[in-house]
Amino acid sequence: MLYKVCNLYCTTEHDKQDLFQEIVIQLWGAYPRFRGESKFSTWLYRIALNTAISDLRKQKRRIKTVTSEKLPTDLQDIQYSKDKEEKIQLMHRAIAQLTEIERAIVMLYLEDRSYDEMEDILGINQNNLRVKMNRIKEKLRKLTKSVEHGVG
Amino acid sequence: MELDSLKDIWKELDEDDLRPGGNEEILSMLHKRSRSPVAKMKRNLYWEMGGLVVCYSLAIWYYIFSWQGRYWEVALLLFLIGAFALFYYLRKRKLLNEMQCVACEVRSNLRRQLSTLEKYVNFYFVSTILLTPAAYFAAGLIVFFKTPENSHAKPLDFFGGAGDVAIQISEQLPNQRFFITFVVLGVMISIGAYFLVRWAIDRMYGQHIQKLKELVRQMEEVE
Repeated sequence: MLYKVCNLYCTTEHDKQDLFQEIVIQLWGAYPRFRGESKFSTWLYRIALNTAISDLRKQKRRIKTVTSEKLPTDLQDIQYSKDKEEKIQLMHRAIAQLTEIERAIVMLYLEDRSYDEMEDILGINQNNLRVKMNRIKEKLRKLTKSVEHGVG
Repeated sequence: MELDSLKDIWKELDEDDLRPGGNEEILSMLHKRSRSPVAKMKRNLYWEMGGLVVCYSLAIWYYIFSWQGRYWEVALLLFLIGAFALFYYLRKRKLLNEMQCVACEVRSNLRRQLSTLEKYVNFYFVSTILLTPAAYFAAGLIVFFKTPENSHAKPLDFFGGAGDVAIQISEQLPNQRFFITFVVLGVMISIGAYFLVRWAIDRMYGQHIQKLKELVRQMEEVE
């Protein structure tokens, strides 16, 4: 899971390694204070996401999103029958255009976390989360569609 | 592409590239220093604190033992400023300790970071713009009243109010021009310090504060 967070919030290998290391350090530091008041997975997600989102040092580099016009042409020509690798690439490129908070929501959704647990991790109430989730889905649909059809 | 159709792919994502080699690699990571902004700010704070203790100790030593101890009041003033600065650093350290709660909900952690960073910056700003003119004028007056050619000057009666003290000072000054220059320079330094500190704070923390505000806004916005 930690690797997925790093992949989601960083673009370069160096940044990913840095973030991974930072999350490990934070987990190690926070573990003695873990009292089991929340599920272990909730605690883990909180630390990973808090570290990734609050780490403002490299956000200038990370925030740089890729507009569909700038995507490689081969991606713009992807057919619906694209293979898994292409889908993953497409997914990462689309997710990279979301805000940090939206990325966190998408990750928890893809990780099959319940809305209840998402609320515990993020501190956003479930109704608001559902609305945000629908908006993100729509946003991703449009983003990937524009990439698939070369509409910019 | 539908998000739901990506769940299976997501679960199978190959992350071997990032996966550390083993326990040794994890252990070596744990021995490294945290590079989080708060950890960096804490390290900077300790460096500043160390620098302050060394510089102030040397300066106090100098004023006690130079000029046959004539300017010992400057040493006392430096000691008082140093003591205030230590309080200032301890307060900043306390704020930094409160700044992050990585195991808390993301939203509350961001709000906590924002409010603590704003407190931290305000404290930094107010302390610096108050301390700069205070130290300048206090040091200037001590040096003036302690120099031999002004040794005839009577001690100031501080119970007559600020205006009265100003009149007493001006009456005792043989060189009005020097006094005016001293006051004008002090005012210029104070105004300069105000803008310099504002600029420095904006450069150091402005972007962080804006980013945190934006993140909190994103979390709190209701569709």
